[in-house]
Amino acid sequence: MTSEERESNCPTIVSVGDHRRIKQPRRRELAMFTDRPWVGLRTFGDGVYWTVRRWCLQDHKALMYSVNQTVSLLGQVIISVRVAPRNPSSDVILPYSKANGSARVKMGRTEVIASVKAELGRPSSSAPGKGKVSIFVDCSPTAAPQFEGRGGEELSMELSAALRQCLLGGKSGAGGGINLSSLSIVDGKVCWDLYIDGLVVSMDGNVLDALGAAIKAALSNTGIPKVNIASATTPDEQPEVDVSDEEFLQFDTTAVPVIVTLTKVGRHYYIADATSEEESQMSSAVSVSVNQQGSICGLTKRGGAGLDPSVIVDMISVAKHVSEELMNKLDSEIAAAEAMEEDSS
Amino acid sequence: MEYVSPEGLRLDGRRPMEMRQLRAELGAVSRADGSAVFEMGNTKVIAAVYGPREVQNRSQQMNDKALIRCEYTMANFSTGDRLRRPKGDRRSTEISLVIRQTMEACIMTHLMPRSQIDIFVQVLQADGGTRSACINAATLALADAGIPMCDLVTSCSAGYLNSTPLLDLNYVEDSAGGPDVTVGILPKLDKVTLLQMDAKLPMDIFENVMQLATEGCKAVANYIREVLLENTKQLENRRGV
Repeated sequence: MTSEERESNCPTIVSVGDHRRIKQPRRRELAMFTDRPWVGLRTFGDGVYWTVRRWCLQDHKALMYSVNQTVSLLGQVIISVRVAPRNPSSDVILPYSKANGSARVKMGRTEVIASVKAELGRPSSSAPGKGKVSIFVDCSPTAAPQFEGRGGEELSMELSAALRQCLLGGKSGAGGGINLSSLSIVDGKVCWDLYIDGLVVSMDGNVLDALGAAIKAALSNTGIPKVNIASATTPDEQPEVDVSDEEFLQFDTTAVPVIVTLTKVGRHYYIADATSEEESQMSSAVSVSVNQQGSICGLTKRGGAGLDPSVIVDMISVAKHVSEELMNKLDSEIAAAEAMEEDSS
Repeated sequence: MEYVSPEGLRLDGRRPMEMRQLRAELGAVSRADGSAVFEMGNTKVIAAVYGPREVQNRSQQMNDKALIRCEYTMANFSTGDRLRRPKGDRRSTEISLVIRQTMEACIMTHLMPRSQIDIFVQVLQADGGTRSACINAATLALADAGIPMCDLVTSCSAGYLNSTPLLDLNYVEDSAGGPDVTVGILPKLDKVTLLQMDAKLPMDIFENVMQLATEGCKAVANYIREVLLENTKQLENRRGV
């Protein structure tokens, strides 16, 4: 990979490849990084958490320094260089009979559910020949305790906005991944309103990519019912629309992009599909949405650290490469899941 | 509308005393200390337990027992009409309170003083009986987290339509306007921890319906025990015992 051929003087790479094979340092080895008595370390499962004992707190400033130092040292030890995303496994068959299309995608320990519901509505006056799509993401408190009550609202807003930017076009509706004109039934009177709902059930980093994959899978699983339009008596009247229960039109998802997030960790490496441990060490991240033709559909940069423009261009090219792989995997998973659904139904 | 046909079949083809199909899975959310997915027919619920851990809000800390917190949320796509559900609406708050009180009765809180246990329940698909499914899922998640409990808590609902007591109502039967009795029991100790009813019932029929719901709870308890045993066997295999 290009990143590996890059700087060879990276100080501590523990392993390359599957992040599950990371050698987790034992408690005693970590103790040598922390000569401060008030910072303790706990290995729990396959993660390392640091806990701070409050009653030893003597000097607040000294504590903050030691904590930051520990975290940055831990960061170097735990990270693995992995440029291939985790395998997305998608259950496209979901017995969510009330939805028109749904998908559940699991990437490592991150699990998200996306559901698509189509309802009849009136098109907006500025775009009479197009349908409407609204994307909304909800972070469930099951994913993390801090999402309790309204705690998850900030992240939900951020994810919804990023998805809207990547999947929907500009204000006029042009250039989106979803063809809005195909959702129109009667110009100016009746159109389909697509409500795309995402739910983050379990979070282990890289939620945006998983949501993008889930929405793409859900859309490919969506069936828009066929409608018979009774002719309106006068042009002003709302035409009668008869929604068929049996016949469905498959939604066209060839133009829907996938999102790839590259996380810059340390000074030299980008990681695709970061787990939450890796994300905790990130300095900045770039999310690129790429469609089947290889064109960029959206770009977001997160994180406070500044990036050199040449680095961003490089990250985009890596993202394009990764997205091809991701899209192929996703397409094969969707086809497999749909075949399973046909077998079982 | 006829909810029980003359042959004795309900709208979905069940007998009046037949429960919907149960399905449970442990460990769905890997980040949580314990989690479970519980399905009763088309109702699907996921529960995650975080704890025991340090109390976030110091003023709520109790020195002799653990603080139990619970939150019930429904996904936007869980019901037929997609409703943008505001978090903290009255029904969710009420059900959160009900689940919390039910689980508090069985968790041995005195063993974990000054700590907090969070139970989060998310409804993925709602088709009647969400309250019961949530309690069953919470029990499984608590068992998966290894939190000491004095007994399992299982819950089931029953109703009375067309002069027949019906077990485990689905959404259509629930919205028929007839009574809906939800019972939560501790099966081994044979104690009732939750009893809720809406609409009205004559006293003698109420006893029948409650008895039916209790039987349903016991059936759920048997299933949950099987699932937990199966899970323990798998853990034993993985550890090479």
